[in-house]
Amino acid sequence: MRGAKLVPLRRLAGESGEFTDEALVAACALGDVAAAGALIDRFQSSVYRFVSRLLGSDGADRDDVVQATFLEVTQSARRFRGGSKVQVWIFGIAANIARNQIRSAVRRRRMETALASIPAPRSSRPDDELERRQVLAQLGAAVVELPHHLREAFVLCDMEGLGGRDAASTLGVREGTIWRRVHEARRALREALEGGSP
Amino acid sequence: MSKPDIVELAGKLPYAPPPPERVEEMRTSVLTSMALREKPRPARARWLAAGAACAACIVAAVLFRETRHDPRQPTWHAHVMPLGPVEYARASSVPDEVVRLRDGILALDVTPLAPGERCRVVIGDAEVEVRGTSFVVEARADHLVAVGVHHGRVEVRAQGRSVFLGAGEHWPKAPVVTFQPVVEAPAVAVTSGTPSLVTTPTPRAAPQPAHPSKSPVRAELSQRESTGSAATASDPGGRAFREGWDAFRAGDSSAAVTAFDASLRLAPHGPVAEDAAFWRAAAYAKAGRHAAAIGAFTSFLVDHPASVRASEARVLLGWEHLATGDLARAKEAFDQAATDGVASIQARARDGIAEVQKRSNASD
Repeated sequence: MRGAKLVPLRRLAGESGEFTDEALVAACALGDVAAAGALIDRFQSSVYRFVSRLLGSDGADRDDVVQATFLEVTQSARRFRGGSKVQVWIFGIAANIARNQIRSAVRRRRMETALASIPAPRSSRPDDELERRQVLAQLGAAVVELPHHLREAFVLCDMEGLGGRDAASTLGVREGTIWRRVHEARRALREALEGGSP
Repeated sequence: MSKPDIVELAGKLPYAPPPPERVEEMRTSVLTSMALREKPRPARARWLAAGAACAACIVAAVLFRETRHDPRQPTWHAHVMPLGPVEYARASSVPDEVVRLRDGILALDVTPLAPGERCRVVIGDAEVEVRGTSFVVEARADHLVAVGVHHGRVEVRAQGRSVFLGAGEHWPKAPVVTFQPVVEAPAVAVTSGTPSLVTTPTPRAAPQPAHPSKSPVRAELSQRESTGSAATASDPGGRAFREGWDAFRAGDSSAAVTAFDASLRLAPHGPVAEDAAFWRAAAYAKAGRHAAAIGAFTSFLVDHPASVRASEARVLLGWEHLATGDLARAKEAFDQAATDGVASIQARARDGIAEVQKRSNASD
């Protein structure tokens, strides 16, 4: 059976919660496929949600970015030095990949088309639930329309709940820069909801 | 609006998580890529490896100039089609191709191997080795459960023994068989981007002892699970089948696939299993998912070779092979269907053969 290799597809034996995030990354760096699987199991939900909010999309774009993120995680595991939390490190990888994705002109055209299809709020006063939905739809559209560096900061801090230090580590900037960007993002969103242009 | 309101609202923005099967697909892809990558080596070994790689490149460049490069040289001989949720990975490529299957059902279509090449499916301590064939293999928790061969020949090595299976044969074989009632379904045109094939209602089969050569594995398992009565809306498999049927008629092929899949999962050997398997394949075809349709029709023919829908399935399979450009397999499927006793099936099969001929002439 020269050249053949069997792939352990099983989940980690025992309770995978016993392994710390750092231990899983270290095992992944040594080529342990089961540990990589456990990492994916542990973080896939938050990464999907983060990327979804960053891209403003739940479709194939999001799936591509998430898959690319975890591929990069398995390739970069041996360079992880434990300077930040594992989740922050993974989010940083996802943010980089998402940034490259968003830079494509095709992506921008899709976003503009999606925004154009969102109806303007009615002039007559609707009921509370309908108004809430309209406001959420406007906010969602406004988040997507934010400049990418502001959107990254807003999603990480105000939607994913990361602290300023962790968000700064994720994006590779200073903490002060993060808070400035969050402040600008909130101002732009407030203006968009109140009828001004971001 | 004040700052806290923006943040509070942002937390309520809707989010649609991906379906579990998509997550599983992503996980398998990532782990497979990782498994096929080389392990990291120590620094000195990296230098030695780099040197060896350079030498290999030079040799390869010399050989390349001296030999004719065939861009069609495949990396894999096995075209793998998962049927439902499956845990598997490609462990190695030619010349010793291995697919590792832990849980679920795979349909495999293997192109003929060159001398010295091997292609195997490994399940725990069992192996299924092939030489160029179409077959289905099922595993549960790393144990080989069943193998069915559509065409070609495979060797099954399990439980310390080895057995060869030919076309239409299954492993394990079972001595006791019984009948499998078939649910009547109304006629509907199944269009797969080609001339439509109107399916005739499946007559309700009278109880009769099944022939031992006709799907003995499925028949024996059906005896264990079925109550012996026809499917009703009260059983989960039947309910899911009905949902799939409604979705199919409404034109929602994706929902139909999901529901027929559910029906097969809930009652894989129940009274509607044969119909669910056929209509799932038809729904894939209608959705334009050719690879999945080929796998599903192939699996249907392996599991139900004596079905009244078998020739119909062969015609549809032929059109799916045509859609993927595989003229040889399309012709094989149409030739088999052309011997059916039903005139309309024969006519559709002849149409398919004519189309194969036309495309073959065009490419010459």
